[in-house]
Amino acid sequence: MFTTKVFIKKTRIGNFLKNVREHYIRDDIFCGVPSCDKCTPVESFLSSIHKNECSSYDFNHYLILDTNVILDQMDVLDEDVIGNVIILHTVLKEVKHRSLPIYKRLHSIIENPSRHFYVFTNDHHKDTYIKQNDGELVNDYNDRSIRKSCLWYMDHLPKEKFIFLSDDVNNRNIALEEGILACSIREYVSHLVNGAALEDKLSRKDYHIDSNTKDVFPPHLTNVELLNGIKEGALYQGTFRASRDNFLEGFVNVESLDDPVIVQGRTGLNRAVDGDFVVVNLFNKEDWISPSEIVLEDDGVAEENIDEVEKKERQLKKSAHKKKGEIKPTGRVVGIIRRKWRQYCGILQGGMDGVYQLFIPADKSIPKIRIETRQAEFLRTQKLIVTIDSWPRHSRYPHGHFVRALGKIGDQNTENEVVLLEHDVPHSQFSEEVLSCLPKLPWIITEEDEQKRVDLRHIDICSVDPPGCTDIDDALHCRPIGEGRLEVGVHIADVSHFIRPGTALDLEAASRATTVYLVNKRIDMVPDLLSSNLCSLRGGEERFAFSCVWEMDENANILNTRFHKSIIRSRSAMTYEEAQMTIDDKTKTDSIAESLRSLNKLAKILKKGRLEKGALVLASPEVKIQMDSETMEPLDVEVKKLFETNSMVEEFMLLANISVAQKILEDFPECAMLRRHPTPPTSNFDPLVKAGRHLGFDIKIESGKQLAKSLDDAVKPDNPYMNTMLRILATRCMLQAVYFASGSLQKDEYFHYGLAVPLYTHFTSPIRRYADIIVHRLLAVTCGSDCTYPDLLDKQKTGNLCQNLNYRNRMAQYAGRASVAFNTHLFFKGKLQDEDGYILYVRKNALQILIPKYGLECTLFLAHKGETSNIFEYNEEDQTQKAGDVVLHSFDPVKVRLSLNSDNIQHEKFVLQLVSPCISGFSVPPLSEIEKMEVVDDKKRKSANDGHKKKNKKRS
Amino acid sequence: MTELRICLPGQRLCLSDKVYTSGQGTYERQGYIYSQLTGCLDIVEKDNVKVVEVHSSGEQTVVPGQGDIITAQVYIITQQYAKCNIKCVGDTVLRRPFRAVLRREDVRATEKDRVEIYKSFRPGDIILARVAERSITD
Amino acid sequence: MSRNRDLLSKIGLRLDGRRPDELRRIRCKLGVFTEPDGSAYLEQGLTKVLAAVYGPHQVRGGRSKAQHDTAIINCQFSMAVFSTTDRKKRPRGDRKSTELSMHLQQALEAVIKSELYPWSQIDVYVEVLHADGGIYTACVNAATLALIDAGIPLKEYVCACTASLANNDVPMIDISHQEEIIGGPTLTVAALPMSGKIVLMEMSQRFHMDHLEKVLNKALQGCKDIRQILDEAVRLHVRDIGSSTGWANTS
Repeated sequence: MFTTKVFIKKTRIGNFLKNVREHYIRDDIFCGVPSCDKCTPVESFLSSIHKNECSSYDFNHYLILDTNVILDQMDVLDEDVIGNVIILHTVLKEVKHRSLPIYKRLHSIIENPSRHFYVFTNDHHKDTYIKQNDGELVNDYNDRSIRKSCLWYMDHLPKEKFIFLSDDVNNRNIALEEGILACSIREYVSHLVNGAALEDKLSRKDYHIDSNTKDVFPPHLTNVELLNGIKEGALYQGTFRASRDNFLEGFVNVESLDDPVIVQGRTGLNRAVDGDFVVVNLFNKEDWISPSEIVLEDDGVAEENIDEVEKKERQLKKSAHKKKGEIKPTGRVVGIIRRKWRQYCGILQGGMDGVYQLFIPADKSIPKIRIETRQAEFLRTQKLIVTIDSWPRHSRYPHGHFVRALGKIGDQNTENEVVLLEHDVPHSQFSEEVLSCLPKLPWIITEEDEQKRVDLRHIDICSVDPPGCTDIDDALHCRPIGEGRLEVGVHIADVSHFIRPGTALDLEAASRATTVYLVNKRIDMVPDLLSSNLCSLRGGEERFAFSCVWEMDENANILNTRFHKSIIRSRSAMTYEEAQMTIDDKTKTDSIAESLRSLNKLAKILKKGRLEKGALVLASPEVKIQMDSETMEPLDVEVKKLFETNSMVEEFMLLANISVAQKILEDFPECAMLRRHPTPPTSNFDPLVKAGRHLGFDIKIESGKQLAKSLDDAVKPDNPYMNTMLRILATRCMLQAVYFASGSLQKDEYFHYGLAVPLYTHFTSPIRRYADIIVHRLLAVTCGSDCTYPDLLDKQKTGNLCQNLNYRNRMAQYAGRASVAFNTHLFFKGKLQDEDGYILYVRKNALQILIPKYGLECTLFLAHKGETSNIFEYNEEDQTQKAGDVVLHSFDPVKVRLSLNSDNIQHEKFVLQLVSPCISGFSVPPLSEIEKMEVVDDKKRKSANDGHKKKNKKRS
Repeated sequence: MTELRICLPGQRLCLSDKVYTSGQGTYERQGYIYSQLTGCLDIVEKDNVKVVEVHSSGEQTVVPGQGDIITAQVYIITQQYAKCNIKCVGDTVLRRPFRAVLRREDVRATEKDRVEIYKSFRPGDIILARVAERSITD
Repeated sequence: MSRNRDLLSKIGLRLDGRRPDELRRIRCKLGVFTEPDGSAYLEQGLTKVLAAVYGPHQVRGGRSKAQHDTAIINCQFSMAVFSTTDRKKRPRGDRKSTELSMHLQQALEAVIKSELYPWSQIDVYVEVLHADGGIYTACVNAATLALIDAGIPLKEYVCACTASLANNDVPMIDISHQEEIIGGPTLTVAALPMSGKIVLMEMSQRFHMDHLEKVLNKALQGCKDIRQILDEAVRLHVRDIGSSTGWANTS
């Protein structure tokens, strides 16, 4: 059935190693072409109906691609026009080796039956396998293999036509000599019938060099030179990070050096793009400079014009030489080892005609990109995605190509799309396959279900959530069971009942990892039917739940804990406010009110106990944006209100999570999914300790408990918000809490610092977090209501899953913030307001101001960047700014005027002006005085502002 | 020579019943006769019973057992016994010798107490003997 | 997420071009030495093993080990220092060799009709010349051949085969070294393929219960396939020897 071929490979990993591997050559691999009658038919998506229509060839044909076409022209291949493509295994392997993301994209195309792609395993086929000659380079060998397969296909199916697409001129020429129809992808696409739109998407790698343009950049060293240089210690390698403020400056983080290496100027950066792995050459010590503090923006409009850059370079040099105080290693980029190019969101720069356009990425650390398009007029109104193809020496900007348009600039949907894309949030519609995993409606509880579950429908359970919440995943109850004991139950939506492991639905949820909340949009982790209906513990409906039930005494000591799946009927779904009112309304004595009261009482005891153990109370300003339901425009921005009931629910959720964590770790010491919060390194606390010291408080950070205590003690009666500010600072010192598989760490590393508990996990929100689903499954096994499956017990798999969850969670958090920021900007557009704020940090030329009302943190510049103010005196020791007899400390309350600067539509920012304390020559008078109007409340002020916007602007 | 049937270990040969019984090179398991050697099948008729045997093609591995007639060479003599190397078991020549002891009282059947070893054997003598017992002591 | 490279491509071929249920090429030869009573050489893919059998003979060394009702099976496993990519320090005596020796002994004791040879001993020496995955299985298979060559009565063949899971779903047999490194847990089974008895089973890591059965079945099927191949080789060998010696010793 098979013969063998042994081939010998030499690899160099420090030493010479001779690897001998088997290579079996088979006779049961088939061509996959439907019209073939020699081969046994195999599953193949190649179609006899699909036609590739290209005007250079007057017949239908199959395509065979070279590796370089796939690597460079993936955006073209994504288009439906091209089909009936044979991918050779040699090519597939090379693509996988060279670029994993491209491989994944190619793979999804291959999987798609409507694209008609077929993988031919040429390297194991008895007729197409060829032996590598002695001394033959891998590339040449692969090219030869590809041509051999082309010839085989032509020979095998003389009736069909095969066209070989390659951008490698050499390979193409040999192919033509051998009688293979070959052409370049550019030639092919440009002659493609209905392929006009595709031309924009062609990658421009082979951009011809105009001999009379002069080179803008010095050449990169060759790979050999780079490797030798690194080995000899003359060159250093590291990740390049571009500066956001100065397009002519960046840093290279070199592992062996303490400080990042500064690279400056056109020649210094030498075509490095943020994230690239580069090699730098250090200058002599006397040429080292300090990081510049000036802001330079790239105003270049045209390709040829580099005068403007040169001018800015001179400006940069001047400023750099001025201050030699804190010099850092300086160097220049001499070569790039690995590009980290991805797809970028952004807009087109206006004011350019012709097919060449400049694209401005939203990310300021990415240079402008030159693209070629025939639809510039249309694209100028759109947000679009562009990718970089190459950056030749003679070009001022990298060359790229347009990938797709996202929608109109400034449109809510477009901006949401941008936020989601930039944060890598999967947000496409759920596929048919996923939806097919959902239960069919009407959904009923069967007798079998009733037998398996504990019936808790007779118990008065209720849920407490924020208003407008449709994905209710937790409900509570509390009832006396005699002898002074209470039974407390936390009931969590039984999502794992509906999401079975290994189904498409499960995989999709695992990949999404979490529900992402944008201001006016929710990107669900599971389809709506589950998240807002079957799983949601809605009031008055019978639902499946996973219950955690404790017996407690009146002092909230847990006497015993049990977990089981159950059927519940929530009596009412309340908001925090309603629940609070029910508790406070002494006239209400029904069982719900009673149980809420006991829950509240117990929660207070629990919280007290938790705080005594050293749990931290941290603060971060969370805001809620009120949206107009019709126009979807933000109406108001406010900080979320907190009730006692918020804390009540939280307390029981924490308790449930902790109980569950203990239980699952007990039964699954290797693969329990837990959540830990590492103790931050002491250096993280520096800003907090410093701030505390200036205020006269000693913030102890040796342990969480001491930190909690010193934060509690730091209270100033005259500035009640100060304590909150300190807590905000403390929050920023913390590290991220992360999921992990219990077997991957030592026991003492399980600790959750913020909550001060040795074990913690997430159990209570399975509708919106995937980690909870896993925990549910683990717990279901421990209480015997479900069985395990292989991946659940695989430590490695759980570890990998945790990594994805952590990444997605972080991204979801950032995306949420970005969305809030965008909507806050939208809300403030064209408004001018005076607001109360507090100084968070005092900097050399600026104050960092926190406006609690909107949860905003903005910078109030005391002087232009890079200059020193002649009004303020900065005292570095005390962290104060002094102007006349006014001294500004950290945490001082101030009044500032807030407006939005929309000069750059991709980067709107808030501009602050000081209103009080009054500093002549700097501060501005309050709006109220200008208008001679009483400021009664925000809303009135808002309407008043609109009319007088112009006037104020002039003054400022 | 008739067509030879080659058997391999573990190969099921036939049912074990009144007609067929297991012989040399075969064993019985759950009512069947299996081969335990690689070799040729041979059926020997003896007293109306067919004995199924398998004969290995190469040299046979034989270990002297109790009651076997052996050919041995004496190499040491003492007052009490003679030490010898077993060279053959029955007709089969052994690949390597087994050591054996011939005790004074086993030299002959009569007048056992009068036997004097040095008068009976000398080192180098080839003797024919029957294995009386097998044990550790030799 | 994709730390594990795909062991099985989408078209159902493994890294070396085999399908999941295909063995590597097995080549073997009996009677490669003249000095021992039986010997064999076996190649399973690139794994190459020599086996030699001495005995049955009188128990050497500590006589107290001898058993009155059975023969002692003494196995010694060793690996040539040049058999792996990194040169080994010593060929035997390390923990792994000792363990493999014991496992080998366990497998062989199950098939040798040792009750026929009381007070005696059978020595089995195996030497790995090239290790490329499935060392133990190759050793068991080679030892079986050597025992047959030595003419020692066996209940039946004992064959061993490894199996693992590709992409955590598809069971595949006869795992090569490359696959051992990339893949997950490996199951090693030594079995009596004709009666279907398992004499030894070992897992490099835990398998989930859901998977174990199908992997085990594949491995047993592998053992049967191996027996087929060995059988063929033995028949060929016997025919050669037999015809050259004119069927001596056969009545």
